[in-house]
Amino acid sequence: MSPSASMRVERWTPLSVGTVTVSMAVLVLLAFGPALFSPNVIDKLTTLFIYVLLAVTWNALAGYGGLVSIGQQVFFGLGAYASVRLAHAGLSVYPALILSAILVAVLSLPLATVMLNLRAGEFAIGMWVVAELAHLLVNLDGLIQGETGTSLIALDAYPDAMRHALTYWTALGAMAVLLVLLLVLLRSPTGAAIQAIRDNEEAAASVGVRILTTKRVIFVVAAFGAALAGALWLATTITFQPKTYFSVQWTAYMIFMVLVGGLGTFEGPIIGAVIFFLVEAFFGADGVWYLIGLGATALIFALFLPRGLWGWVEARFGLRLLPVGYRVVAGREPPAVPVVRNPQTRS
Amino acid sequence: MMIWLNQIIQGVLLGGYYALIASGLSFMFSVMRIINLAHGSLAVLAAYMLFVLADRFGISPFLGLLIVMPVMAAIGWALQRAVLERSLRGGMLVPILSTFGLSIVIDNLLFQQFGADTRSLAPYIGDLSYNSWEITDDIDIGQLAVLTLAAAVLLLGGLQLFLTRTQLGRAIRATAEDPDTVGGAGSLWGTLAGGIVLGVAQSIGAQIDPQGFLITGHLVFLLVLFARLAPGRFAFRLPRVRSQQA
Repeated sequence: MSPSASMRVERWTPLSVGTVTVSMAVLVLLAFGPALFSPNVIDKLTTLFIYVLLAVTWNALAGYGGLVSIGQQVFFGLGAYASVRLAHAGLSVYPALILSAILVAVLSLPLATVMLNLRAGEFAIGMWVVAELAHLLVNLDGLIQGETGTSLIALDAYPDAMRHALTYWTALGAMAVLLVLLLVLLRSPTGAAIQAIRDNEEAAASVGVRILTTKRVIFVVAAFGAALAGALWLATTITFQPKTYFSVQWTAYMIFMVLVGGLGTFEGPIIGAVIFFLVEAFFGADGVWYLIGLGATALIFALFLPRGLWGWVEARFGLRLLPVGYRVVAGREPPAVPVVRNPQTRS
Repeated sequence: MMIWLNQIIQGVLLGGYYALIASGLSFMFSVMRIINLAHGSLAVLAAYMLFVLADRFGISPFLGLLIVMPVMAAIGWALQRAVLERSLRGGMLVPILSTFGLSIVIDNLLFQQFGADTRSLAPYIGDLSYNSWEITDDIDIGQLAVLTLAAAVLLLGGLQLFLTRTQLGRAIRATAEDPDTVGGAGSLWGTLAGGIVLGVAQSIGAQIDPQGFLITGHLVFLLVLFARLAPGRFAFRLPRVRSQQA
């Protein structure tokens, strides 16, 4: 009757197995999108996939890594810029989108080494300055023509319908790969280290977590995701204007999606992206008031529901759809209350 | 040679303006460890208040300050109660998120109200907007810029006197988390130094290349941020961002 005999640690539950199965089915179904939906729906879904990319990668950085960056638009903008450059150099457009994201991820590695020495607010503002600096430097490139910008002319080579379908598939694939990558990463020992750092950096270091290496991994993954999103956005809009791509508004969108959906939860940002997508569809035309609403909503969530809608659902109902942690279950009783995951936030 | 000297002088004066803007941010950060991302938006809000007073009611901006400053203080108090105190309870990251949301709200409310047109208080301050002292053929010193720098020095000096000589000031220092604030007001003069470093860097950058103004400023900002990571080697620090273990 020792406690260890009646306790077991569980990760997969029937519910989470079901969720993963359903998610896979949805992804497979979405892959047939261009054959099933109208061009308008295809474009809308492409936008949604890009939002999910932005939300989950910003959440990985802030929610799991504890690194709030206000400068993620640097990677978004550079992803698009690198695509323009690579396409201009003669590379086929769609491989160029992927390659540019990889290039930006490689570039983010030395940046990580420098920026990760900064803490909390310093890191946040430092990233913003890096983004502004990158914006100014990109403006100097003759190809871009300053704020006038340029276009991804190479896209003209594709017939309209084919271009929309290709962009859709690339976005869907990018989103799926990133989601799987993050799920695997967060379930790995590195993921445990990441969450330990978020909860208490000193304590994590004291049990042997390699702080800087771990943060660097998440920083590069987040940079890769944002760059991919920027490159894909370029494929949907065709025009590249530095002012638009390096706008802090992208980070505002990311913060909105993650705060509303659930900071530091895996499912939350996906829900947040869907909510943001719907809010934009209904209120986006209202321009300034729409932005005021976004800012105010982010503010209210930060103050009153810092773990977002999904964080609230998790705490309230003990739901785990996609398990990135473990929970200890007593005896053969059905799990009533989740025990281990974010000790700090569960007060 | 004189051109460079002129750029440095103009840079120092510009730095006074930056220091004036940053002093509140710096003070707040040293006492509460909050970086208020809405600080700049609040400064612009105050400027628009002055503009409305001058434009609609014909009140001189200098008199207008007597109205706007208490109003802004009241807004600051309300934000402290409604937003900042609550944010602080959520940990290190929540204030960044909440003040960022706040800045989006303020920026867009102002945009909604006033549009994207450039406004200037210059028509309401008469000669002061363009009067200058001619030192040599190459060097002119704007009177408004000197006034701004003087205001920054006065404000920072006044803040230091307040912190060291009054009961309330001592109480604030006692609760401050920043050793420099507790010890005196090191971070306040750091603000002035930081502003001047930024201003001089920008105006020298602008002299090198028309695009250089912002680029040089940003580069210097990052350099200072990282220089500070190698402790002891560099005496100066940027006012807004100071190390945790200072």
